[in-house]
Amino acid sequence: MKTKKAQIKMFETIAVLLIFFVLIAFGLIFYSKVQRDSIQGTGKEYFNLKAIQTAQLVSFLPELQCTSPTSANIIGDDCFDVFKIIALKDIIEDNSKLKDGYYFDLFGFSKITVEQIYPLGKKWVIYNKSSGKSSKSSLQIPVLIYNASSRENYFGVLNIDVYK
Amino acid sequence: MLNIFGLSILLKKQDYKMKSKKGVISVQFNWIFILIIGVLILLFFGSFVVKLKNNSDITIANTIITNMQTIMTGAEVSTKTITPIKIPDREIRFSCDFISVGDIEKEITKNKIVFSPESIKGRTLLTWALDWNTPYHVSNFLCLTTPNYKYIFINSGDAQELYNSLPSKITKDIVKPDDISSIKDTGNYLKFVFFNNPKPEDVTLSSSIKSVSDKEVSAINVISGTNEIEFYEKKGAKFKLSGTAGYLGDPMILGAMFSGNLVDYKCNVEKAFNKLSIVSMIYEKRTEYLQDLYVGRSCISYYDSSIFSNIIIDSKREINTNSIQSINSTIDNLKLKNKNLQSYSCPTMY
Repeated sequence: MKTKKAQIKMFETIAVLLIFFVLIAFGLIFYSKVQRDSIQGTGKEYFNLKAIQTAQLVSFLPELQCTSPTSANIIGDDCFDVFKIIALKDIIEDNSKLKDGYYFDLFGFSKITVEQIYPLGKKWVIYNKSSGKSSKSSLQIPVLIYNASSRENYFGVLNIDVYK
Repeated sequence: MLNIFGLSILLKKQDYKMKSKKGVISVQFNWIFILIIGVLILLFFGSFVVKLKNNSDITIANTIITNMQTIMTGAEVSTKTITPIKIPDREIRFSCDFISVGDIEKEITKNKIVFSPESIKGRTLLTWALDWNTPYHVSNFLCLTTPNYKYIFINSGDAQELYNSLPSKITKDIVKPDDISSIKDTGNYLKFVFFNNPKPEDVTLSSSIKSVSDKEVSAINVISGTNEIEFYEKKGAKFKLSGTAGYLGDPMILGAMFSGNLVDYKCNVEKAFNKLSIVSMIYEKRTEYLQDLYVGRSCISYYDSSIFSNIIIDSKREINTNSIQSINSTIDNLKLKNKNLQSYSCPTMY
């Protein structure tokens, strides 16, 4: 009888401990899931932020920006010099060290294109380095394309695709 | 009979003693068991709390660094504006290539030129972006400081002009060379900016400044004739030379002033000259395209892409007085040719 009582007591203790640890395990699983969701959310936010930062960097890149013909220090907002666009495209294409070093550091895995919209014209792929992943964040920024030779302005769009 | 009765009593007594011993052991075992389990549970929750705290610290540090990078990108493009930014009261450490909070460290990319003290503490961060033109726009320098840093200009040479170019939100002062010895400790980190008259090593600081930690006071000396900046550290009441570096343009003087040390300044100057070579490559190619377009026309004689080639060569060399002065003379030549192009209504080179 006494042995049975002791056994029941032991079972009671073990059951209490078991429930206690099961509850803790549930708590931990729930917490880790919440944390994982939060980390994924932060990652997404960070990715979008990076896309915006890349767009901002390209928009204000001295390698592309046009300067006022009257004063070199006055920089036109959202204005790209057509000869600079061609020059940068050629330099990045010809110089893999620059593409994989300096500009990769700047743009990472992304594709940067300038497209002349009006009058309908050319499209320049300035930088293209894909990570092989399909998920990307795309941004379009309207820009002015200035031709220093003809002194004409064209409407264009700066396309930025940032890959994960 | 009596003996048998006596023996049974004795046996019962012994049995009682045994049971009582078992009870004592059982009660004690229970308490030991509770103690061990209790300690284990406490340890488990304790370690959980410690891990949570560490995680939270890492998250905060990461958030600060991510926000700092966003701030830096934003501030970098809005030149000539000073922006006070509220930051958490944590120490943010800067070097030329890294930004770190606590144990978390992130790289500052090669295109970002950030002149900053080694450590930033306090609630307000001041960001000031300066555009660097040679004479075409090459890059924006981002200068970081806090109201806790005081910049004292010694009035000679270009001091007044440079002092006036500093926004009023930056803690600054301009003093005559004779008044240096009367400068008192105001609780700020002090950075003296000399213009080679007098030289920092010839100056004796006041007893108030002498008592301040050597790490909290430093100086730079701008030698405009040779395009050099000397970096000084405080040793007691005197300044001691720690090294020399070159500069090209006023933004670099201001960069040296905001820099925490000579190594970071030199590293940022290298980044700037690397950018200069890249931007010059663009202008070189652009000039070649214009040359091709204007073949047989009067403008052609003013286009000269070799000017940019010279700048590229000089900016890739070791940065010293010679290379900087060579770039300076090329710039003068470029300015002249560009002026000619402008006067003949030709597209300019920059």
